[in-house]
Amino acid sequence: MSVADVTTTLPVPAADTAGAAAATSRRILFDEVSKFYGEVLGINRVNLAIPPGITSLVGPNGSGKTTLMNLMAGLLRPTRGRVSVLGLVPERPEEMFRTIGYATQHDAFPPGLTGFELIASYLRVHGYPRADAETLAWAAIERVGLADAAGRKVAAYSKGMRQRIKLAQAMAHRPSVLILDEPLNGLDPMARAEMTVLFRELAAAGLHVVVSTHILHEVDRISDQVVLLNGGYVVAEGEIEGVRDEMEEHPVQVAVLCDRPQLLASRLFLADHVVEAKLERGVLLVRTRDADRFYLLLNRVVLEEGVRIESVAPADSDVLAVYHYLIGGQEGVQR
Amino acid sequence: MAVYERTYRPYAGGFTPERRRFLVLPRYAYGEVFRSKLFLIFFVLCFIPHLAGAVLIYLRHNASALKFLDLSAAQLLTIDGSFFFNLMGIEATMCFLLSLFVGPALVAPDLRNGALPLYLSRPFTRREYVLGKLSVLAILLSAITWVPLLLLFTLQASLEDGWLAANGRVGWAIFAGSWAWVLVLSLIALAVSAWVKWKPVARIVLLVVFFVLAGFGAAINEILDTTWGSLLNLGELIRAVWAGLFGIDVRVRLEPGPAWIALAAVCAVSLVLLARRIKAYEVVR
Amino acid sequence: MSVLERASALDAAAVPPLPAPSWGLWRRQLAAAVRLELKKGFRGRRVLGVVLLAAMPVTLFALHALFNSPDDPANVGEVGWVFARLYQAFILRLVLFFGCVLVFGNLIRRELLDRSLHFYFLSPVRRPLLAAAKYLTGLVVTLSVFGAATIASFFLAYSAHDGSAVRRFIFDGPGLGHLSAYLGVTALACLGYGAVFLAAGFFTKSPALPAVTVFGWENLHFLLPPALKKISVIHYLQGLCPVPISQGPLAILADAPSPWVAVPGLLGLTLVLLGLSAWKIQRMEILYTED
Repeated sequence: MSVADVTTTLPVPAADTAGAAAATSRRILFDEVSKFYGEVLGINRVNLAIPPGITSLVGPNGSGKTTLMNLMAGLLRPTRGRVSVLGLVPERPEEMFRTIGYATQHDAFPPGLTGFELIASYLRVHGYPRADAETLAWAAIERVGLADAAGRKVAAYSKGMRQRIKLAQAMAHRPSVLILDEPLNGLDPMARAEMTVLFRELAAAGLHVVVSTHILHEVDRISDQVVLLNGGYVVAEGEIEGVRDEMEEHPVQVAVLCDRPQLLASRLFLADHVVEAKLERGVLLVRTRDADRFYLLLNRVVLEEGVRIESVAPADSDVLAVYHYLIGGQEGVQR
Repeated sequence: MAVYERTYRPYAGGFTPERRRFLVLPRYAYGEVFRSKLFLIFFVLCFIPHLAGAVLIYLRHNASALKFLDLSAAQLLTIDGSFFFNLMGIEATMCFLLSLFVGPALVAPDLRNGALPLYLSRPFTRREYVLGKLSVLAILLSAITWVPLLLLFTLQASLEDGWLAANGRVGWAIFAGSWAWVLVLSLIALAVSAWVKWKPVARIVLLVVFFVLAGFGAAINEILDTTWGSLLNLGELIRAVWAGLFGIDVRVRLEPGPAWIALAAVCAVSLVLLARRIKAYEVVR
Repeated sequence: MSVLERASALDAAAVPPLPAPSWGLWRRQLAAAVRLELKKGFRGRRVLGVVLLAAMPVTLFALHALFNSPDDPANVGEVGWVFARLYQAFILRLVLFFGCVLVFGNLIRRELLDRSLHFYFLSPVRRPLLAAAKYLTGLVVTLSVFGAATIASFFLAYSAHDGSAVRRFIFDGPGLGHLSAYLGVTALACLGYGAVFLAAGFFTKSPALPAVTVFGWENLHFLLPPALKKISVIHYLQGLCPVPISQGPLAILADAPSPWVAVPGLLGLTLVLLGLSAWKIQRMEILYTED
């Protein structure tokens, strides 16, 4: 997948309607979608095709992540364009909402209900008989580790517990698409790790898991693809390495740990594609406009000069670096 | 981490006087309240009775205007205690509607959104919070009751010699009577807003308190052939209080004494409800 | 047990399938939504306000029974007239009216302020069904509370009189008919006002404004000309009461509508307003604001 300009759409061969239909039914599709709140822009001319796996929505506050999720979940109607989730539309709620589970950003719950009642009651509204609703409710509660607190009122829960009951509520009916708005917010590190494992497991089982988060190192660890938003526009989508490779205007930064960094730097800097070489706390950071030629050069210099290399790794092919380059807002990429 | 630039300094400027700090609440509340065009129109309409009163007072003392309109002074209302009593009656309804609009939005949103800890974690007490919220309504209601009425009273006194000596108690009746109604309305609105916590429900509860209780009181009067049911009718209570203050002969079902006691009891209950609700924390079991 | 082991163990159980959309599913969803609404909004202290309202007329008639000994306990004729006056002037115009405002006016508004409406919208339920569930919940609460209050008030009104005379009046005379009529009027009031204020909750930010407007209109109804009288719920409800009462010396007289007009008219109005509510909820978006 490439860095998307906002008008790009997925190419579908005209004659291959069966294939196109099959592709549509496995993806969450945004087709030229715009959403305006009066004069305020939510998102504009978004085209996305989200495949199964974990897709992270990343962007600063007000970039349109929640708007995108609300449109996906049918809680908002697009001003223009069309949204479909696995071929389903909100006008057919009985099919669509069996498929979707959404844990919103709102830290609010119906009053007077316990954790168990919250989940079981809404499962009964789904149409499940009482026994099935209770079984599914307990399964979801066990899954998020809230069995001990299920009998207490949700209003008495801590922030982390409220977050977990929201997740349980979204997952209880075993949807095929899980939309999670900042699901790790308020969770302690152990709970975050457990939930991350859970998301990976669900994605491995074929679910679409769409997550919005500000914790960028988690995005790196768990996401299969990422969608970067800024000011209501999609600025990039796809796998992080692929996105980074397309960003030719930002030279690739490589970190080299070796025994003679000054010598290596002086030799590498002679190449025309190397734009910067600096030493930072004993690590040589080199910026190059051509990563392939750089690695060839590095091999040659190491052999010629007998430099002992401990490690060579890309220093800015993670979400944080891509976020900084495309959206900005930081002094520099911090390590 | 080495610290070598000690540039942080705590605030060293002046502070607002503690006595007036509660006025921060009405200052911000009015910004919200007057944002509504509907409320602004209603607020302006509240001054029409006073304007009409001013015109009547002016006409009564302006012979050329009377001649132009082909009227005589005798055809116009007499400007006395009854005139101001009736004007206050009209304003009482406007005050109720204004409290219905503004009152429920004062405390309920703060309680529901957990804003009380934000207030009370500053050097700001619960008393100052209640006083601040009370002053939002009290100032607005005063602006449409005793302030313009006392201006009319002054106008009339200045235009007619000897009128002030004969009707001096009217001025005091306007001031005390208006404040009684302002305090009762403000405290009830605040108490309902604090107890119910949802703005729309609070408005309906206010309607119930004023209309249904009045109807209940009237029904008790009819069934038991008594007048004590009027103690539940806030409108009747304030009319009895005003009748006593103005010293005029109007048909009221209660004596001023019991009416004052009932209004004081209503205010006390409202304060108790407020004291129980205005806390920096809430325990949920 | 780690989260993986827990999840695997639970996933071993097959996910029970949801039935296909059908009348049976819709009935089940409707019943579940009504049960949930009752649990959320009308449990414990939350229903206290409505119960206190309903207790007012019961208290009135209890006081009447305690403090008003009839001159002739065997003469139950005048009781009907006393009950009619209090029913139409107090129960119908104030208790039922504000009870319906309190119950129906906040069914949707409260959920928006609580920011919990999205839980329903994310369920595989047709939205008009949700509107119907909310209306039914309001009906269950108002009919049970105010119906019980009407019955209790009716019997308390007669309780000070001679028991055998009362039994003759109720079982051999028009008493049961009167009670059925008053219960019918109570039910129709709950249906009609309920639909009005449920719809108002969808279209206005606060039910207080439509409540004040409708209250004012209905209480000035006696001054309105016959053509305008027809645009009020109270006109039809009063026409169905078994004992007519005077509207006062200033009232503009009009013929009371026949039951064959009043009942279908009120039911028709209810259906139209419910249709409007269903149309509105279908178009709602989740945009929570403070107002």
